[in-house]
Amino acid sequence: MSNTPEVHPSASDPERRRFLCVLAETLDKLYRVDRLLSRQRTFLGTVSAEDSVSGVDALADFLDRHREELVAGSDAIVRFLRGKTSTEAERVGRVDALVDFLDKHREGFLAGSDAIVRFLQSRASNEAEGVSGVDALVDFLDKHREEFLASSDAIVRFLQGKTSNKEERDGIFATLHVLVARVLQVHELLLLIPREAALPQASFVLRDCFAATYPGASIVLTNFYSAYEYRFEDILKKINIEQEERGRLKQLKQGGDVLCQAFADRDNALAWAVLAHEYGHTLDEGARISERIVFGDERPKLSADHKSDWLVSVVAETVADFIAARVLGPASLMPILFLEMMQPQLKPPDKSSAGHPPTPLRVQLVREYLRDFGVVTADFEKDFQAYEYDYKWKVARMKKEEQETLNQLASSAGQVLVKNAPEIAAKVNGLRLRGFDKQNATNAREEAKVLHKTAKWGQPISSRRVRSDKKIFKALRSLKSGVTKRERAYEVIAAFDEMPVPSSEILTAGWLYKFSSFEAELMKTFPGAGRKADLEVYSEYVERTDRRLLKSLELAAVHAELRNRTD
Amino acid sequence: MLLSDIDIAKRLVDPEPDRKLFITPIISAAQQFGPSSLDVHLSTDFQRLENINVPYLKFNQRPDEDEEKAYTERIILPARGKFYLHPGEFVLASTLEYFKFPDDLAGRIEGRSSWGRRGLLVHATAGFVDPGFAGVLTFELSNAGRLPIELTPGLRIGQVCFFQLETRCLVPYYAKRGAKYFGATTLEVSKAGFDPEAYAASSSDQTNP
Repeated sequence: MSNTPEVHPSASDPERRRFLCVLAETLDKLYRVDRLLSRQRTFLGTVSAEDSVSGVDALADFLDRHREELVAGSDAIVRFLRGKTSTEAERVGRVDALVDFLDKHREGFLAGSDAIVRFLQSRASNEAEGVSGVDALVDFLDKHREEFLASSDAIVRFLQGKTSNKEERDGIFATLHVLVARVLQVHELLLLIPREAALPQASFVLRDCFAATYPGASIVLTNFYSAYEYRFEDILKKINIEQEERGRLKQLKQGGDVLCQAFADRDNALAWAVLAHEYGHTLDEGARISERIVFGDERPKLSADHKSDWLVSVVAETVADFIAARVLGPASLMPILFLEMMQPQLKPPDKSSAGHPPTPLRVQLVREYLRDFGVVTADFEKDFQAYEYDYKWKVARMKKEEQETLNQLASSAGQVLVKNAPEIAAKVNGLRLRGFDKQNATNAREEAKVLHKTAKWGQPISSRRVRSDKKIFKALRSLKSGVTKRERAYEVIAAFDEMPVPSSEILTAGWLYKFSSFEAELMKTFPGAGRKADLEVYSEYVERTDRRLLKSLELAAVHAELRNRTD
Repeated sequence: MLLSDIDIAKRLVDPEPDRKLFITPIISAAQQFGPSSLDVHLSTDFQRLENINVPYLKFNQRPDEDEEKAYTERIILPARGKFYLHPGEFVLASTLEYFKFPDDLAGRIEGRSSWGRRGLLVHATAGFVDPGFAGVLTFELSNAGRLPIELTPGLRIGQVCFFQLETRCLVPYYAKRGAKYFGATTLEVSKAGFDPEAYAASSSDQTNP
């Protein structure tokens, strides 16, 4: 198959869908980053910089002892954000110190640090104007928002299917990608203001998906630069903590896992599907699934070579993908695809660090795995095709040698994973997780319809009745005040009891609703006919959807808890 | 006319969409239905009014994020979390249940006797629900007793009764100009500052100091 997608004179379906997905996700992220900055501004306005840093249980004491180091970092951040950094040397020095500090905690933090340093240095000239850091970020986003809106006529033409010229379409996409890049850049910068707390609903989702099988597992949820999972103990070992403290950390053995969620997605329940993947790594590590698949039951005494590392890594990603898909269904893939579509290009492949199998292969394996449970992914087909189009489009723009490396890696990963997929599936199934099945998929489709029908007044989708309203109404009409016996009245009334809907259905319904509604919302946002584009329209839609899904997850969790208590 | 249990039940499954009363979730109908009311549960979120950062509540206090943060503290509990309401303390909370009232039904939220005997008041003054309202109902909780009261999400601390209007209203809540709390999925702080008279008074304050 050629890597170059077919080009139609007018936008093909996948091309158009890809554009809609990227535009929708950009406006979504833009709104979220705006909100985050607004909260940060409030924080800076009301909280003193001298406030101590709070931690979680056992972590609190540890943090106390290292307060000096942390406060040194946070002072610099606070000063920077308030535009009070006095000299360039200090600014750069502080940023370097901060980057070093973060580096100690997690190598992955460094992923965006170059961009952060560059950006921070370029903002430094604004200090004289007394603009605070948050305001500078807001201004930066506003400027790019305005520039983007200048192209809204072209976007309207595209949305209405009136763009016939390929150059014009490429131009629109390039404009969109400039905005995407800026939004992602600001998102990276949010690393410097880590004061957001994960919402309890995120924990409800994980509890609902995993706690029945793993009630003892304890997870620290946090919002950070990006989504990933790590072991708390590893981090503490890395930063050379005292022997005495290490002893105390034994209590964390059961639950030293930290799952991170991107800052911007704090309120975005749909993106939390990623947490199930990260949790999958935790389970994999505990059950040593990927290691056993690669090495058998004999664990190598010394660390394995690069090839083995790579093998374990790609198998581990697939195990985590299968675990996430088992509990959440196809929704588990969607945040990954959307995030990748937002990136202007693919990361150049690197043999030494290619831990993740190529995403199209991950999609294929997950879809095949889900088919075993009767879960058909037809509802997501258009968006899978859009992703495929996007991937090919980006591969076609890579250098020849990068394309070859990518193909080689894809082929090696393909051979390993296709061969091992049945074993991975069997081992994941052996974890006895509450699985997403055909019935859940059907229910989610119905719940998505409810989200549509009740969009105006915001009904949550947290529970459902077993009997239809029609049957209950009929039974009620047979009751007579003063005549019907108490037991019969209670029998009929009991039909009103609702069953809580699992989180997996709520998230799947949320994605289905998004896929079937975002195009209409984009049309309203970019109305055309001489009317100005209004991004507020899309923001309101995102906020409305967030609130309904968060409420649904909250209701379902409390409902399930009450049933457990009374049962 | 106050609806009886059977009337409430019929409204919940009424085949006429215009007459249907929507309430979700109904967790245990047998426990929740009273002779002329339906019990409602406490949700997970609370908002406590703080007196540290603002000297008083201005009549035109608007709940934008900066101001809201300055005079309130938001607390979201886990499903098994606890909240201790101290004597004399006032907090906002909400029902777990989400409602949609038809255009010909009004409602009133009231406390339950068992909790009232512990000193728990569920609303300060605004227990009335307009026809056409959709959203969660707000509890204005206060402790009139002398001991702190332990609360947890899912407790049945209130009940709602329903009144049928003699005629359908002309402008239901969802269509009312300036309706501020329609479709709320979580508790919301006061939006009195958006009332035109409050806004007008603050404008005249600025021009005539």
